[in-house]
Amino acid sequence: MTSPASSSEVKYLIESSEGNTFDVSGAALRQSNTFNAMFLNIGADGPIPFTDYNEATLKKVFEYCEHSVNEENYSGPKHQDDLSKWDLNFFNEMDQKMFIDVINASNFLDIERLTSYCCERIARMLRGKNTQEMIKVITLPTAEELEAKQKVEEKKAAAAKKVAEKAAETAEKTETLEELPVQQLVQTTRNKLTRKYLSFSNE
Amino acid sequence: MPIPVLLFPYIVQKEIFKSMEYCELFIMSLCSKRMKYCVIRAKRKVPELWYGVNPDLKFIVLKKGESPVDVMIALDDKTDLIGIKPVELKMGEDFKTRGIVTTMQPTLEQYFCFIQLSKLDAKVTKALYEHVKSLFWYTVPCGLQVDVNSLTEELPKYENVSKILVEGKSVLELNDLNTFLSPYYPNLSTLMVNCPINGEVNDALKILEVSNIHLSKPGLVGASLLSKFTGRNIVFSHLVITEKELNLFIKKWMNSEGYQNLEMIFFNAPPDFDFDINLIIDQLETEEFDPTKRPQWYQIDFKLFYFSSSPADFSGDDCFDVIRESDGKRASILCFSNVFFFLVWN
Repeated sequence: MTSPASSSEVKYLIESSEGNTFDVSGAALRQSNTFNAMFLNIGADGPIPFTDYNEATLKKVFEYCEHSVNEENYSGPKHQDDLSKWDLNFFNEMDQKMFIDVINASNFLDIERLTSYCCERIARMLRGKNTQEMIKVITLPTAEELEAKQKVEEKKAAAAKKVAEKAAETAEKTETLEELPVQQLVQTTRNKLTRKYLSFSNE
Repeated sequence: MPIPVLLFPYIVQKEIFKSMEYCELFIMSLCSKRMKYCVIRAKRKVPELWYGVNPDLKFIVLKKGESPVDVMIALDDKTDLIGIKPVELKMGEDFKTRGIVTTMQPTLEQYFCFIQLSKLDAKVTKALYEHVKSLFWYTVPCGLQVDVNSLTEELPKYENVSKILVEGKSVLELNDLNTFLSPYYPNLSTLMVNCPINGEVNDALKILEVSNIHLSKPGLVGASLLSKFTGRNIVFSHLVITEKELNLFIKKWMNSEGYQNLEMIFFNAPPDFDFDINLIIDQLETEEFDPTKRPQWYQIDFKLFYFSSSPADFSGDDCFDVIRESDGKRASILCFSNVFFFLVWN
């Protein structure tokens, strides 16, 4: 069960690509700018479907968020040498696939701190390398892989455009539906749009 | 652990590039055409860049504020590449060559890219310049450090250069310097010549269009350059000049017969020289230091590559003020042992 309250006690249900759900605290979830933009003020009536990412990846991402809840305000990435033992363990536990999935999920959820740490870690891997060594690390993709990436990006852009059009259309309609209480109408519309957007992302 | 950087979304790529050193971005851009495009798209801002041109070494260094310069890229002319396999390098728009790319670590925190090539000609220099220019977002004008023996080389058209340093052991001929400065560098504001210089100064010389000049070994050129100088700041080391010539120079300034834009002249004469200030101010109307008319201390900005600013005391027995008749502008003459300052107050 989820609620729109902003208290750290509130738990939200997260749904992964396998259809599994698990709890995340509101305080942890609020580190995600994507969540803040979509659900913070309006709440979510049911599990929040982050179904582009598997359970293990999402749990890893929110493990980081739960851990950093009590840290002081974020002011840019720390130097890798300044990372705590917990941070280092967190990164070292991940294999390559998980690391890449965490970066992508963190980017989608717009968790600035985690994304920055991951990116700095990659930069660190490239430090002191010559071209040949760098090529080995960055694994240059094949033309097919790049094409597939472009298709995904186009699809996401089209979905975002559709949502924006739908939002504009809905906004026009709501002006005529005066019999509904305004607050209720806005919330219902936002919930619908959010679900619509997430379903586009999953296609 | 291999990481498919190119498959990440643009925002993630940009974040990765933000955490990388400039030389690492340069090396990365050599990995593939797509990678180069991604680095270009991220367009990292760079601080002041200096291009270095020597007969057997081309380099690019970064200058961050007043801190010492960091080498970013160095291209070395090596013919003994036997034993190490060179790789194909694509630089600039369509230039291809083979070389050995390594990273050097002069300090714990600093790396630079070191490329050894069997042939280091004008095409390489041009390709390197074009390549770096396309990768980064320049925030301030650039500097150019040229060896005197490379002045006559075919060089790229370095854009937005505001400072040039010519150095070396050979003698720089004014005519060669003029040919070098003539076609480009419309934004050149500072020129430092750190090698012996020779030639005849005439009004058509490009050097006279430069606002800030420093000659380390001016020889006989110094005094005649000073007599025709129209810029703002001029600095010499070991200038051979007489008190009479200095007296004449001050008179010209006071009578508005020249030096309209002048802000400062500073030089030292050869070490065994000792100026007689009475001869310098002979027959000039001077004033002693008056704190109600101008500050006692002045923070000198040499506006040059190697020189940091330092405050100087413009008071005491060896300091005199003169006034320009036309606009009442005040200047101070500070002269002791072999050192001479002429500072125009704004």
